[in-house]
Amino acid sequence: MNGTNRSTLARTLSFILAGLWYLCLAWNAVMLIFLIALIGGVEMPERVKVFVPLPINVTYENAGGADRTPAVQPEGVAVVAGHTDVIVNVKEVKDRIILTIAVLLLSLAALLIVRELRAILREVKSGRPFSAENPRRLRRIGWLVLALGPLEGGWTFWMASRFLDRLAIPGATLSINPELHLFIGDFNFNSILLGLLILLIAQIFELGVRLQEEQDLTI
Amino acid sequence: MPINVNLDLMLVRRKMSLTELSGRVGVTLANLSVLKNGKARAVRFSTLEAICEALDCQPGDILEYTGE
Repeated sequence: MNGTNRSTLARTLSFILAGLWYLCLAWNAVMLIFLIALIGGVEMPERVKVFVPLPINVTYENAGGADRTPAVQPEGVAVVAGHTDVIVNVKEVKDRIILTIAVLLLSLAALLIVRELRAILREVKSGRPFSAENPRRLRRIGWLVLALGPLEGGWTFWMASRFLDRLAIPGATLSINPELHLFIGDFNFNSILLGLLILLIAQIFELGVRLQEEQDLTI
Repeated sequence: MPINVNLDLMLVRRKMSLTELSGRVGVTLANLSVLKNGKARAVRFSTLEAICEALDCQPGDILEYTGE
């Protein structure tokens, strides 16, 4: 018998997903407005700072220590700290635009994923998890995760390679941090696995839909 | 459908309405309609037993194999 599922878990999930939805919506709006302002050439006040951690390795030629902020700040970007990655102050409008587009793409994906999740949860709560639409929703989520996992990991790497040409710190050599790259690679792998898992679950849901249909038409 | 469900004849003979049958058997009217119109995929033995008890008949009285 199909019954509604108002368990505490379902309710907590609903609550969390609702919160995430509005958060994603707000974040997307902010990013979009920021992007439009950047493209439109609006003057950003000095207070607006965009910091991005990039996997850049700073090796100082003297034994100065990697934690020191260099005395001379190069043009266009500012190195704030350095360990296994460097936090770059992105000042140039072109760089900010690229950054905002990347973040916007990922945020949109997150928004879509949360929307599908909420729809799925709604149907599960109403007691009909094997509706015809759910496998399709799961498939969409799976493809989004699969396709955008590498984007999430890879874009900082790509940005770092862009900055590497322009970021010149006297007395230090810069390289893209291979460890972080490996970590990013590992993260890519996780996202790809997760995406595949979700697609597999979508397939299983397809079977569930067929079973449900059979069950519904069994008097 | 290769198997026909003919409730109408027995309902007339026992002077029962479909609604009354649904109440006696414990199957919703909607599901009984599904059964009657040949849209059902399967029938549980428990349901068949309940219908035969309510209509005082044999399964063969309401089920017919047309063999298509």
